[in-house]
Amino acid sequence: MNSSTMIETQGLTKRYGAATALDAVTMTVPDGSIGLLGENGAGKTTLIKLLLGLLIPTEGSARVLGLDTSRDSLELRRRVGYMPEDECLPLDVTCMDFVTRMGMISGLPKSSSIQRTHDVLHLVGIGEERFRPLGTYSTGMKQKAKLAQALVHDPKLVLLDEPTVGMDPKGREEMLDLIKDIRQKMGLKVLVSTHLLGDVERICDSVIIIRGGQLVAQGTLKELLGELAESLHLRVAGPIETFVERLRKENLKIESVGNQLTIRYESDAVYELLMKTAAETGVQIRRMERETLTLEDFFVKLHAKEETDGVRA
Amino acid sequence: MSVISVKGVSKWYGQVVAVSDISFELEPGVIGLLGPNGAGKTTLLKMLGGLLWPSKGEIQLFGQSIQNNAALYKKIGFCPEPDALYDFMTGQEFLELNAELLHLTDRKSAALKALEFVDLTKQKDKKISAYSRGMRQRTKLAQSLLHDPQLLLLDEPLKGADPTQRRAIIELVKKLSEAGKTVLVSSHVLYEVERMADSIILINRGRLVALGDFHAIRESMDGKPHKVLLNVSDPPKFGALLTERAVVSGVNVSPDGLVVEISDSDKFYGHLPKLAVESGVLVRKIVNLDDDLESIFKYLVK
Amino acid sequence: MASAPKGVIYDQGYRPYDGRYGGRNYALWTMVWTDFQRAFGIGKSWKYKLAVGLLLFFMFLPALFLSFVILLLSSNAGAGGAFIKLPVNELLGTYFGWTNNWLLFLCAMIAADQLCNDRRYRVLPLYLARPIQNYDYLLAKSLAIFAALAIVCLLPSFSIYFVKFLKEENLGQVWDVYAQNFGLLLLTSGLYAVFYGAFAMAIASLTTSRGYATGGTILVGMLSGLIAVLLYSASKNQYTVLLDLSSVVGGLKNALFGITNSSIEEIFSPGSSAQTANLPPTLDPWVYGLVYVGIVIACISIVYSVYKREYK
Repeated sequence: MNSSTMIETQGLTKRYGAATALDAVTMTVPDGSIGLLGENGAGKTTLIKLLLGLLIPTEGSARVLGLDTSRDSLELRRRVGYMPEDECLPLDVTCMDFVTRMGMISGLPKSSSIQRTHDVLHLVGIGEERFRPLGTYSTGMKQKAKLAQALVHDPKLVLLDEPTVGMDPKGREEMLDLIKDIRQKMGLKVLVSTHLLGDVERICDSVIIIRGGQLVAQGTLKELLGELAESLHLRVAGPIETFVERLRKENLKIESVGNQLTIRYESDAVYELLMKTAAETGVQIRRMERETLTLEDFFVKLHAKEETDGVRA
Repeated sequence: MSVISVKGVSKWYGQVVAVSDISFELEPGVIGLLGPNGAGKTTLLKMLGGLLWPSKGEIQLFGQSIQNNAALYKKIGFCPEPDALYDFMTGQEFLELNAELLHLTDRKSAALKALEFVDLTKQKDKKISAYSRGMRQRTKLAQSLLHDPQLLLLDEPLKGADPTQRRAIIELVKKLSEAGKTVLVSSHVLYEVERMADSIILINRGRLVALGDFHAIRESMDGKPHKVLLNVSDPPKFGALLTERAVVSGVNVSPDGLVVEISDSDKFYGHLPKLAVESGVLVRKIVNLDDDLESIFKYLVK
Repeated sequence: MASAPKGVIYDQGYRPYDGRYGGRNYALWTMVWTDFQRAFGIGKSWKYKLAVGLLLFFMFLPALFLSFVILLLSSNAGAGGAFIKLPVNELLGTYFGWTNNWLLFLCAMIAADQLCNDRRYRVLPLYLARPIQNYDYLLAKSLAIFAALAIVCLLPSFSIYFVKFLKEENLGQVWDVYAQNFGLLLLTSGLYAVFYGAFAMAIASLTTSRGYATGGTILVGMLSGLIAVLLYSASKNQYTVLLDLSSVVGGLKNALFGITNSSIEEIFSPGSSAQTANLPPTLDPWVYGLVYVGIVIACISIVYSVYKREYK
């Protein structure tokens, strides 16, 4: 297995009686920050559990960080950190005690665990509160504590399930920056499972999309969303009608709704034309951008297409 | 006449002041209610929904005082944040129960209509215990729509919803606004609020920090020059020209393009086309970097 | 030529860990040790410490007092003399019976605290994601609870044993008696610990509230005794004694230490048989043994089935 692959699965299948939670998933995930996407009930949780070695596949296999998830599951979990989505912190224990204990269970000697707990709590932004019970923590701090226990044993890969859930905008910002740092500055590999596609666009390089237990898309954001659309979006101010008229005279395909214009892009020549016409008519172009496919557009299109193809949700 | 009129409203619990002297008026449309955790948003929403009384001040909905005005409740739909559904019922049963509590005459059709609105028709006869999180969220939303209220108060309506459902709910909210309803949405995911809401209410520490169209709010932030990203064919040349003509107060060349700081928007945007033509530089992209809710939030909430 | 002055800035960033990692056994030991400490109140609220402290006080103090008395008083002391002169096995066996109630309270508190909160706050997934087997969590808890209860049973009785040992006049002759009794002490402590531990864990598994678990365990324990007494006086059936949980393990203890109803008479009022007239006759030890095993297995099954669901 290539050393720069962090996850590799081969026909990975998990069935519970007649129900198939995961169906022959075969993929090679390169090192990096990966977004795991999928509708509720698509099989993401099953996949995560399989990758952590907590479930035995019905068929097929998976390798994470080069280790087989069934055979080497203990060793694997030593190298992986997991931050669950749901509430999971014991509220009657102090943060310091809890994270230290978790570190020791992952194999750290006591003194190292205490030291690393301090380091990791500073990293996530928990200060003096570390000596207070987790029950006194705000939602944002609880999320940080959850992240801390996933990092304390210096894992090579962290699995984060909805890391910003319940956090306010400032907390979300901090958490997203933290995840970027974890990937870029600390060099850890990251897998983020989330529904917030805007976040994925911000912190992930590639995505895996699961639907109905199957892998339906995989690749870097560039690969999947790459092409710039053929539309140019403008927001303008000033004598808009005159502006639009002049452009139409130049055979430009243009639609206008209020101060929002959509222009068909054919070549860079359109930019020159726009500036010239704006200068002549005294119009301000306050925003101009080639429309790109967002991850949400891609996701929704993917699922809509599958529905019309007769695949049940 | 404004839909919501809040005058000098405060709410305190002993020494804790959850909401401190807030006043505003809201017109129909979608309004985003924003603020850090603990800022008082849920308290404010509950007061608007008639679930809590203000300690001081007055709240009027549709021109009438909300105090002890049962008839007014029929015009309000509240979708609370916590998940509180009866698992043992089916979706339709739950909605019909709520319809009964609302004294609706035709419960069945109200329930069916609400289910259709949130796209749960296919699963209406399944027990709620079997519902996914997104489906539970939509059931909660459906329950707030049963009596076709004029005012909707939605607390984190997208919680737990997957991307397709999120888009569906966002479209739903916009649809409601187009139907003339007033929708107040509280959420922490600002780039989603931007898509739904025309204006915002920002509160922090129980106080009103900002109100209105967020582009206008941004404009009115003196002392915070806008940062605009320009993708041009010759960044140094164009940057120099902009500086020379004093239409920008600062220029930075970044890997994504030219990032300029402007203190006078009209002056900058007014001169931009002329300077582009004059210098022969191709301008491919003009994007205001901090005209979004995230930036406004960051600046206003310390 | 002077060299340039040196100044160094140290990177405050993330430090990777390059030490060694302990294995599964280390993890298990960590969990058992921290849970064991927690059972006695380390890292817990003052309320818990107070409650446990009081229970330990009531369990240890009589033993310490008795040991003191045995140690200091000569063999010909007055009223209490008969008790002190009892053979060591009867002394220990009887003392064990006295600590029953306190043990019930203690195991209720400990098991409730160990099990309920983690289920209430759903902490289990965080343990499962660690390099341990999925049953290790429960294994560690069981070992910790067992160890805590066993120590609490063993130490007070051991102090009595020890002073009896010291005061023994013809040690050479009764050496094997003392050796045997030491073994019995260990065995019985273990039996009590397993029994009360399993029982309390089973009840604690049925609820996520520590209060209900503690109260429930105590209630069931005491009710079982009450029901047994009532049924016995109504039916005089000797098997009704098996309904009382403390009698099941008590019966085993009596069999091991060789205590019969007559020896109980000797202790309380030598020569009078009135006290024991109403006591049910002791049953065959195997009966107690069988019921004991049955109850322990039932309790373990309850715990297992509850936690199996949690692992889904």
